[in-house]
Amino acid sequence: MRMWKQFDTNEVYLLILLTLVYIVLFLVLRKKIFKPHITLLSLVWGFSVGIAIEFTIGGGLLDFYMLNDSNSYEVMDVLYFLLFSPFGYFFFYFYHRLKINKEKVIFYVLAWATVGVSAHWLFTQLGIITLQKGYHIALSFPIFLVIQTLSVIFYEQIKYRENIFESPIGD
Amino acid sequence: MGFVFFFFVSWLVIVLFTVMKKSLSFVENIFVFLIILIVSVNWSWIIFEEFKFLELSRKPLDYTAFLINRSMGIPLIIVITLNAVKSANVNAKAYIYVGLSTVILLVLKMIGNFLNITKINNWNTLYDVLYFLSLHLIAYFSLQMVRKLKKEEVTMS
Repeated sequence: MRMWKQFDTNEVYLLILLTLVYIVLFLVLRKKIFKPHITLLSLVWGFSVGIAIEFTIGGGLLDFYMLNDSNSYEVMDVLYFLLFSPFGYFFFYFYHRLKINKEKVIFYVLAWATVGVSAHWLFTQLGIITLQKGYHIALSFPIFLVIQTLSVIFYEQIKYRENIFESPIGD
Repeated sequence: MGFVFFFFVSWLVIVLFTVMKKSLSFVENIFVFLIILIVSVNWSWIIFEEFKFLELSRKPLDYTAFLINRSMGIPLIIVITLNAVKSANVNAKAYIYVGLSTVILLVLKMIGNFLNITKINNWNTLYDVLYFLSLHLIAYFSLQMVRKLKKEEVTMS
Protein backbone atom coordinates (compact mmCIF):
# COMPACT_ATOMS: atom_id res chain seq x y z
CA MET A 1 0.00 0.00 0.00
CA ARG A 2 1.62 3.24 -1.12
CA MET A 3 0.77 6.89 -0.40
CA TRP A 4 0.05 7.76 -4.05
CA LYS A 5 1.22 6.80 -7.53
CA GLN A 6 1.82 10.40 -8.53
CA PHE A 7 0.93 13.46 -6.48
CA ASP A 8 -0.84 15.73 -8.95
CA THR A 9 -4.07 17.70 -9.39
CA ASN A 10 -6.52 14.99 -8.32
CA GLU A 11 -4.71 14.61 -4.97
CA VAL A 12 -4.74 18.40 -4.50
CA TYR A 13 -8.48 18.62 -5.31
CA LEU A 14 -9.15 15.74 -2.92
CA LEU A 15 -7.32 17.49 -0.08
CA ILE A 16 -9.18 20.77 -0.78
CA LEU A 17 -12.56 18.99 -0.84
CA LEU A 18 -11.73 17.09 2.34
CA THR A 19 -10.75 20.31 4.14
CA LEU A 20 -13.92 22.10 3.02
CA VAL A 21 -16.24 19.24 3.96
CA TYR A 22 -14.67 18.85 7.41
CA ILE A 23 -14.81 22.60 8.08
CA VAL A 24 -18.55 22.50 7.32
CA LEU A 25 -18.89 19.43 9.55
CA PHE A 26 -17.21 21.14 12.51
CA LEU A 27 -19.39 24.23 12.03
CA VAL A 28 -22.52 22.11 11.96
CA LEU A 29 -21.35 20.01 14.94
CA ARG A 30 -21.21 23.17 17.08
CA LYS A 31 -25.03 23.05 17.17
CA LYS A 32 -24.80 19.86 19.26
CA ILE A 33 -28.16 18.60 18.07
CA PHE A 34 -27.46 14.89 18.46
CA LYS A 35 -25.97 13.01 21.37
CA PRO A 36 -22.24 12.27 20.85
CA HIS A 37 -22.74 8.53 20.32
CA ILE A 38 -25.39 9.23 17.66
CA THR A 39 -23.05 11.71 15.97
CA LEU A 40 -20.33 9.05 15.97
CA LEU A 41 -22.79 6.48 14.60
CA SER A 42 -23.83 8.83 11.75
CA LEU A 43 -20.16 9.38 10.80
CA VAL A 44 -19.44 5.64 10.88
CA TRP A 45 -22.64 5.03 8.86
CA GLY A 46 -21.48 7.41 6.11
CA PHE A 47 -17.99 5.92 6.06
CA SER A 48 -19.02 2.25 6.08
CA VAL A 49 -21.78 2.58 3.47
CA GLY A 50 -19.32 4.42 1.22
CA ILE A 51 -16.63 1.79 1.70
CA ALA A 52 -19.02 -1.13 1.17
CA ILE A 53 -20.29 0.33 -2.13
CA GLU A 54 -16.88 1.50 -3.38
CA PHE A 55 -15.22 -1.86 -2.73
CA THR A 56 -18.13 -3.71 -4.31
CA ILE A 57 -18.66 -1.81 -7.58
CA GLY A 58 -15.45 0.25 -7.71
CA GLY A 59 -13.14 -2.75 -7.48
CA GLY A 60 -12.95 -6.52 -7.68
CA LEU A 61 -14.99 -8.26 -10.36
CA LEU A 62 -17.06 -5.23 -11.40
CA ASP A 63 -14.29 -2.61 -11.11
CA PHE A 64 -16.45 0.15 -12.59
CA TYR A 65 -14.09 2.95 -11.70
CA MET A 66 -10.51 3.70 -10.83
CA LEU A 67 -9.81 5.75 -7.74
CA ASN A 68 -7.08 8.39 -7.98
CA ASP A 69 -4.25 7.22 -10.25
CA SER A 70 -4.39 3.42 -10.04
CA ASN A 71 -6.59 0.42 -9.35
CA SER A 72 -4.50 -0.54 -6.32
CA TYR A 73 -5.18 0.68 -2.79
CA GLU A 74 -3.44 3.96 -1.89
CA VAL A 75 -3.44 6.05 1.28
CA MET A 76 -5.11 8.81 -0.77
CA ASP A 77 -8.01 6.40 -1.37
CA VAL A 78 -8.59 6.31 2.39
CA LEU A 79 -8.86 10.13 2.34
CA TYR A 80 -11.47 9.80 -0.42
CA PHE A 81 -13.45 7.36 1.75
CA LEU A 82 -13.21 9.82 4.66
CA LEU A 83 -15.17 12.28 2.50
CA PHE A 84 -18.26 10.09 2.99
CA SER A 85 -18.29 10.27 6.80
CA PRO A 86 -19.56 13.87 7.19
CA PHE A 87 -22.37 13.20 4.72
CA GLY A 88 -23.74 10.56 7.08
CA TYR A 89 -24.05 13.34 9.66
CA PHE A 90 -25.36 15.95 7.18
CA PHE A 91 -28.11 13.53 6.16
CA PHE A 92 -29.25 13.18 9.79
CA TYR A 93 -28.82 16.91 10.46
CA PHE A 94 -30.91 18.21 7.57
CA TYR A 95 -33.48 15.45 8.06
CA HIS A 96 -34.07 16.89 11.51
CA ARG A 97 -33.66 20.61 10.68
CA LEU A 98 -35.95 20.47 7.65
CA LYS A 99 -38.53 18.55 9.69
CA ILE A 100 -38.80 15.78 7.11
CA ASN A 101 -42.04 13.83 7.37
CA LYS A 102 -43.93 11.27 5.27
CA GLU A 103 -44.96 13.96 2.76
CA LYS A 104 -41.46 15.37 2.31
CA VAL A 105 -39.39 12.18 2.50
CA ILE A 106 -39.53 11.32 -1.23
CA PHE A 107 -38.22 14.79 -2.14
CA TYR A 108 -35.54 14.57 0.55
CA VAL A 109 -34.26 11.23 -0.75
CA LEU A 110 -34.40 12.46 -4.37
CA ALA A 111 -32.49 15.61 -3.41
CA TRP A 112 -29.74 13.62 -1.69
CA ALA A 113 -29.55 11.12 -4.57
CA THR A 114 -29.07 14.13 -6.90
CA VAL A 115 -26.36 15.50 -4.59
CA GLY A 116 -24.68 12.07 -4.64
CA VAL A 117 -24.72 11.78 -8.44
CA SER A 118 -23.51 15.40 -8.77
CA ALA A 119 -20.63 14.68 -6.36
CA HIS A 120 -19.76 11.59 -8.39
CA TRP A 121 -19.78 13.68 -11.56
CA LEU A 122 -17.58 16.31 -9.87
CA PHE A 123 -15.10 13.61 -8.79
CA THR A 124 -14.83 12.40 -12.40
CA GLN A 125 -14.26 15.98 -13.62
CA LEU A 126 -11.52 16.50 -11.01
CA GLY A 127 -9.85 13.20 -11.93
CA ILE A 128 -10.45 11.70 -8.48
CA ILE A 129 -12.36 8.82 -10.05
CA THR A 130 -12.12 7.52 -13.61
CA LEU A 131 -15.05 5.56 -14.94
CA GLN A 132 -14.24 2.33 -16.76
CA LYS A 133 -15.75 -0.88 -18.15
CA GLY A 134 -18.74 0.97 -19.66
CA TYR A 135 -19.93 2.48 -16.38
CA HIS A 136 -22.01 5.62 -16.84
CA ILE A 137 -22.49 8.27 -14.15
CA ALA A 138 -26.31 7.84 -14.42
CA LEU A 139 -25.89 4.32 -13.02
CA SER A 140 -24.93 5.90 -9.69
CA PHE A 141 -28.49 7.25 -9.34
CA PRO A 142 -30.16 3.94 -8.38
CA ILE A 143 -27.28 3.21 -5.99
CA PHE A 144 -27.70 6.56 -4.21
CA LEU A 145 -31.47 6.11 -4.22
CA VAL A 146 -31.10 2.82 -2.32
CA ILE A 147 -28.46 4.23 0.08
CA GLN A 148 -30.51 7.33 0.94
CA THR A 149 -33.69 5.30 1.40
CA LEU A 150 -31.82 2.96 3.75
CA SER A 151 -30.48 6.02 5.58
CA VAL A 152 -34.06 7.26 6.16
CA ILE A 153 -35.12 3.86 7.53
CA PHE A 154 -31.98 3.77 9.68
CA TYR A 155 -32.56 7.27 11.10
CA GLU A 156 -36.25 6.63 11.81
CA GLN A 157 -35.42 3.34 13.54
CA ILE A 158 -32.86 4.84 15.92
CA LYS A 159 -35.12 7.84 16.61
CA TYR A 160 -37.98 5.47 17.40
CA ARG A 161 -35.87 3.34 19.77
CA GLU A 162 -34.05 5.96 21.83
CA ASN A 163 -33.70 9.65 22.54
CA ILE A 164 -31.05 10.71 20.04
CA PHE A 165 -31.13 14.43 20.72
CA GLU A 166 -28.90 16.44 22.98
CA SER A 167 -30.46 19.75 22.04
CA PRO A 168 -33.08 19.31 19.26
CA ILE A 169 -33.18 23.04 18.42
CA GLY A 170 -29.41 23.51 18.60
CA ASP A 171 -27.47 25.64 21.06
CA MET B 1 -23.25 -24.37 -5.11
CA GLY B 2 -21.04 -21.85 -3.26
CA PHE B 3 -23.57 -19.09 -3.80
CA VAL B 4 -26.44 -21.24 -2.48
CA PHE B 5 -24.41 -22.25 0.57
CA PHE B 6 -23.25 -18.74 1.56
CA PHE B 7 -26.65 -17.23 0.80
CA PHE B 8 -28.17 -19.81 3.15
CA VAL B 9 -25.57 -19.12 5.86
CA SER B 10 -26.20 -15.37 5.65
CA TRP B 11 -29.96 -15.88 5.72
CA LEU B 12 -29.53 -18.13 8.76
CA VAL B 13 -27.40 -15.62 10.70
CA ILE B 14 -29.85 -12.79 9.87
CA VAL B 15 -32.78 -14.87 11.17
CA LEU B 16 -30.81 -15.98 14.24
CA PHE B 17 -29.87 -12.38 15.00
CA THR B 18 -33.48 -11.22 14.55
CA VAL B 19 -34.98 -13.81 16.88
CA MET B 20 -32.22 -13.95 19.51
CA LYS B 21 -32.46 -12.20 22.88
CA LYS B 22 -30.09 -9.25 22.54
CA SER B 23 -28.01 -7.76 25.30
CA LEU B 24 -26.88 -4.83 23.14
CA SER B 25 -29.17 -1.96 22.14
CA PHE B 26 -30.15 -1.32 18.50
CA VAL B 27 -27.58 1.50 18.18
CA GLU B 28 -24.83 -0.61 19.76
CA ASN B 29 -25.56 -3.58 17.49
CA ILE B 30 -25.53 -1.39 14.38
CA PHE B 31 -22.36 0.42 15.47
CA VAL B 32 -20.43 -2.81 16.07
CA PHE B 33 -21.78 -4.28 12.82
CA LEU B 34 -20.57 -1.25 10.82
CA ILE B 35 -17.11 -1.27 12.43
CA ILE B 36 -16.65 -4.98 11.66
CA LEU B 37 -17.97 -4.39 8.12
CA ILE B 38 -15.30 -1.70 7.57
CA VAL B 39 -12.54 -3.99 8.86
CA SER B 40 -13.82 -7.02 6.94
CA VAL B 41 -14.09 -5.15 3.61
CA ASN B 42 -10.63 -3.60 3.95
CA TRP B 43 -8.96 -6.77 5.20
CA SER B 44 -10.37 -8.91 2.36
CA TRP B 45 -9.36 -6.28 -0.22
CA ILE B 46 -5.80 -6.07 1.11
CA ILE B 47 -5.13 -9.83 1.37
CA PHE B 48 -6.94 -10.81 -1.86
CA GLU B 49 -6.47 -7.90 -4.26
CA GLU B 50 -3.34 -6.10 -3.02
CA PHE B 51 -1.00 -8.76 -1.65
CA LYS B 52 -2.70 -11.66 -3.44
CA PHE B 53 -2.02 -14.01 -0.53
CA LEU B 54 -5.25 -15.69 -1.54
CA GLU B 55 -7.01 -15.86 -4.87
CA LEU B 56 -10.66 -15.05 -5.37
CA SER B 57 -12.83 -16.74 -8.00
CA ARG B 58 -13.82 -14.48 -10.92
CA LYS B 59 -17.03 -16.44 -11.57
CA PRO B 60 -19.91 -14.00 -10.87
CA LEU B 61 -21.90 -16.30 -8.57
CA ASP B 62 -18.85 -17.40 -6.56
CA TYR B 63 -17.73 -13.79 -6.28
CA THR B 64 -21.21 -12.78 -5.06
CA ALA B 65 -21.06 -15.58 -2.47
CA PHE B 66 -17.79 -14.11 -1.21
CA LEU B 67 -19.30 -10.60 -1.04
CA ILE B 68 -22.32 -11.89 0.90
CA ASN B 69 -20.09 -13.62 3.44
CA ARG B 70 -17.70 -10.64 3.70
CA SER B 71 -20.38 -7.99 4.13
CA MET B 72 -23.14 -9.84 5.94
CA GLY B 73 -22.06 -13.24 7.28
CA ILE B 74 -18.82 -12.32 9.06
CA PRO B 75 -20.00 -9.03 10.69
CA LEU B 76 -23.29 -10.55 11.87
CA ILE B 77 -21.64 -13.66 13.34
CA ILE B 78 -19.36 -11.34 15.34
CA VAL B 79 -22.32 -9.23 16.49
CA ILE B 80 -24.28 -12.35 17.52
CA THR B 81 -21.24 -13.58 19.46
CA LEU B 82 -20.84 -10.23 21.22
CA ASN B 83 -24.50 -10.34 22.30
CA ALA B 84 -23.96 -13.86 23.63
CA VAL B 85 -20.73 -12.84 25.40
CA LYS B 86 -22.45 -9.90 27.08
CA SER B 87 -25.26 -12.14 28.32
CA ALA B 88 -22.83 -14.73 29.74
CA ASN B 89 -22.79 -14.73 33.54
CA VAL B 90 -19.38 -16.39 33.84
CA ASN B 91 -16.17 -15.57 31.97
CA ALA B 92 -15.60 -19.18 30.90
CA LYS B 93 -18.90 -19.12 29.00
CA ALA B 94 -17.88 -15.93 27.20
CA TYR B 95 -14.57 -17.48 26.10
CA ILE B 96 -16.41 -20.58 24.84
CA TYR B 97 -18.70 -18.37 22.74
CA VAL B 98 -15.71 -16.57 21.20
CA GLY B 99 -13.95 -19.90 20.53
CA LEU B 100 -17.08 -21.36 18.94
CA SER B 101 -17.58 -18.28 16.78
CA THR B 102 -13.93 -18.39 15.63
CA VAL B 103 -14.32 -22.08 14.71
CA ILE B 104 -17.51 -21.33 12.74
CA LEU B 105 -15.79 -18.49 10.83
CA LEU B 106 -12.83 -20.74 10.15
CA VAL B 107 -15.04 -23.57 8.88
CA LEU B 108 -16.83 -21.11 6.58
CA LYS B 109 -13.45 -20.00 5.24
CA MET B 110 -12.46 -23.63 4.62
CA ILE B 111 -15.76 -24.36 2.87
CA GLY B 112 -15.02 -21.33 0.65
CA ASN B 113 -11.69 -22.96 -0.27
CA PHE B 114 -13.32 -26.35 -0.78
CA LEU B 115 -15.95 -24.86 -3.11
CA ASN B 116 -13.20 -23.06 -5.08
CA ILE B 117 -14.48 -19.60 -4.18
CA THR B 118 -11.10 -18.82 -2.68
CA LYS B 119 -7.70 -20.40 -3.30
CA ILE B 120 -4.67 -20.26 -1.02
CA ASN B 121 -1.46 -18.90 -2.58
CA ASN B 122 0.76 -17.91 0.31
CA TRP B 123 -1.28 -18.15 3.47
CA ASN B 124 -1.43 -19.90 6.81
CA THR B 125 -4.67 -20.85 8.57
CA LEU B 126 -3.17 -19.45 11.78
CA TYR B 127 -3.44 -15.95 10.25
CA ASP B 128 -7.18 -16.51 9.86
CA VAL B 129 -7.47 -17.61 13.48
CA LEU B 130 -5.63 -14.45 14.60
CA TYR B 131 -7.78 -12.29 12.30
CA PHE B 132 -11.08 -13.73 13.54
CA LEU B 133 -9.97 -13.41 17.18
CA SER B 134 -8.96 -9.79 16.47
CA LEU B 135 -12.40 -9.10 15.01
CA HIS B 136 -13.94 -10.18 18.32
CA LEU B 137 -11.58 -7.86 20.20
CA ILE B 138 -12.33 -4.94 17.85
CA ALA B 139 -16.06 -5.57 18.32
CA TYR B 140 -15.66 -5.64 22.10
CA PHE B 141 -13.68 -2.39 22.22
CA SER B 142 -16.07 -0.67 19.78
CA LEU B 143 -18.90 -1.52 22.13
CA GLN B 144 -16.94 -0.22 25.11
CA MET B 145 -16.32 3.03 23.23
CA VAL B 146 -20.02 3.62 22.48
CA ARG B 147 -21.00 2.75 26.05
CA LYS B 148 -18.36 5.12 27.42
CA LEU B 149 -19.70 7.94 25.22
CA LYS B 150 -23.25 7.23 26.42
CA LYS B 151 -22.10 7.17 30.04
CA GLU B 152 -20.37 10.54 29.65
CA GLU B 153 -23.59 11.99 28.21
CA VAL B 154 -25.49 10.86 31.30
CA THR B 155 -22.80 12.25 33.65
CA MET B 156 -22.74 15.59 31.81
CA SER B 157 -26.54 16.07 31.80
